[in-house]
Amino acid sequence: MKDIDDDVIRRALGHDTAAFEMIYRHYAGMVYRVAIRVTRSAEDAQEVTQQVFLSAHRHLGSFAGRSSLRTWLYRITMNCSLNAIKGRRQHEVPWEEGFDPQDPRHDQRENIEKESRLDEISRLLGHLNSDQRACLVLRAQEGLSYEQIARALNINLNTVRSRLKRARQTLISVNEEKRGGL
Amino acid sequence: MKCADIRAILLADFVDDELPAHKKAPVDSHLSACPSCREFLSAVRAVDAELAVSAVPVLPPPEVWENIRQQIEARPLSIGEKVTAWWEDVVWGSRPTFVYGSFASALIVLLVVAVPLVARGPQAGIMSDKEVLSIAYVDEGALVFSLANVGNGTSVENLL
Repeated sequence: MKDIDDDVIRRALGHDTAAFEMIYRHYAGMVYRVAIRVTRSAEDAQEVTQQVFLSAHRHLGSFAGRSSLRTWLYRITMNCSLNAIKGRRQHEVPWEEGFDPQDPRHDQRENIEKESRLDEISRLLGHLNSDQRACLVLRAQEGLSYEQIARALNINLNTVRSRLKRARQTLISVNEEKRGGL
Repeated sequence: MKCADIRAILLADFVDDELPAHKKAPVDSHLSACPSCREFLSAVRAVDAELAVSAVPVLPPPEVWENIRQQIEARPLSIGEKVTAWWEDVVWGSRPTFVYGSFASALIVLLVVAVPLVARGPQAGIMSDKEVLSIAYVDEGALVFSLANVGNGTSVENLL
């Protein structure tokens, strides 16, 4: 995905709502997708998406092109997603439980679940802790380099490496167990 | 290198193409001779393949943007944000080119006139006709700039 034009960012800095909406349209899918995969909840992902863009709007002046807007948004998304997970831990509702077909959010959820593999991915990622999940989502799904992941998560390169190793090792074991159970 | 060392590399740097060429060569050579590590590499790649499904793009529902828009429009701007907004508007706003020209000319003339006057000190004496004319240009430039702002429905005072 290409970064949005600098001119749009400059206009958004001047509090041009139409320009900020262009930024939203450009990156909302990416933010939502990452948030869903890290939080494993459509509801949390919507909340995270909202927080990310409100925070980006408030702090756009401090971004000032120091990194790419995409990397900066990944960083905010990860912070908000990990916070959402922490906040939820005390009264955690697993992905498949608490599903009410009468819930108005059912349609959105249904749309998401049309991608049956997404659900499978979600279950697979559920075997990892949130830090490993964040690294693996950014690498295997978003295609970020180690350096970009380190910047997005504010960790060093060796931590990126070790989290990826542990994450993949865990999932290899999960797959082996699945094969053994067949 | 032992299989355990090779596998540690396969789990991250190797599959992610983060390995420099001089470190990749010994891994490639080990892989060509070790079926067990090749099998392990396939397992690592299978994990990534399972995750890398970029199916139908998933988008947040429309009300997410609506909530964001309402909140950003309702939020009062800080002084810093007002200054940034004003500056962005002055520098990048959609004013006709002549406004920028007038503003830039006014600044240049101001520098040309003001620097020698300041350098001469408070007993500078009476201005020459040329200096009076230059200051008139400065005033005209500032006037054009102000009028253009008003014409756009804004003024520096309002923006601040």
